[in-house]
Amino acid sequence: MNITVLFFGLIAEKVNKESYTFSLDKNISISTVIHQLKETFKELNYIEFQTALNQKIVPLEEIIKSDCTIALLPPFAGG
Amino acid sequence: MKNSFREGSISSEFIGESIKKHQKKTAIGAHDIFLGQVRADIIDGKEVKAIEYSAYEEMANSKFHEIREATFEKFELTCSHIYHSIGKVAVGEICLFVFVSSAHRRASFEALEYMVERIKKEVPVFGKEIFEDETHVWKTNK
Repeated sequence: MNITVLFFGLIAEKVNKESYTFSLDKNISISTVIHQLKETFKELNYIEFQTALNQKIVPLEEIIKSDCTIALLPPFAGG
Repeated sequence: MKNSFREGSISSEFIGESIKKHQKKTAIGAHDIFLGQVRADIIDGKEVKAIEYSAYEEMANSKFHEIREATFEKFELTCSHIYHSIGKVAVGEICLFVFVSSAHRRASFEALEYMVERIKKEVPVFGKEIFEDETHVWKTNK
């Protein structure tokens, strides 16, 4: 399955990218994906963020079972 | 899905026009409006001159929709609108316009506060506070 990761705000600035794609051959948890992303993008170890799976904020235990979009969301500043 | 984002600041003309459009809806007896304005914060001795907003627009628009729906469930409203800036907004300009209308005042007062608090907390909008010298920091809602 294909995973698209979206970066926003401070995170997009630090990793110098707005998106990143990779593929997986088995179901894994969001926390495993985050762990792998932190290996690839070291800057993520120093930034606070929430994770959205297909536009919904999800807990880290959530399992990914099909093609999806994961967004890393730094603190909100609307209004 | 309705797009709540507007490029740049929200003008007083746009706000005035929005009020005018509601004059035909004669079941309305009360409007309440929240306007978010970009503040010239001083951070480490430097003054903010603008905020550049970005957002996860699809998710933000569905959140705005969800918040409006929840507000209609909770309060006796006639209508509600949310407009948020995207891109650069200078200090003193308006970046958020929330507009609610109801038959009686109490529903509007309460619904407006409920909506604004949820917008600040739940909508994925990001703000880069830009200083006079073009350096910046990332804003975080309290």
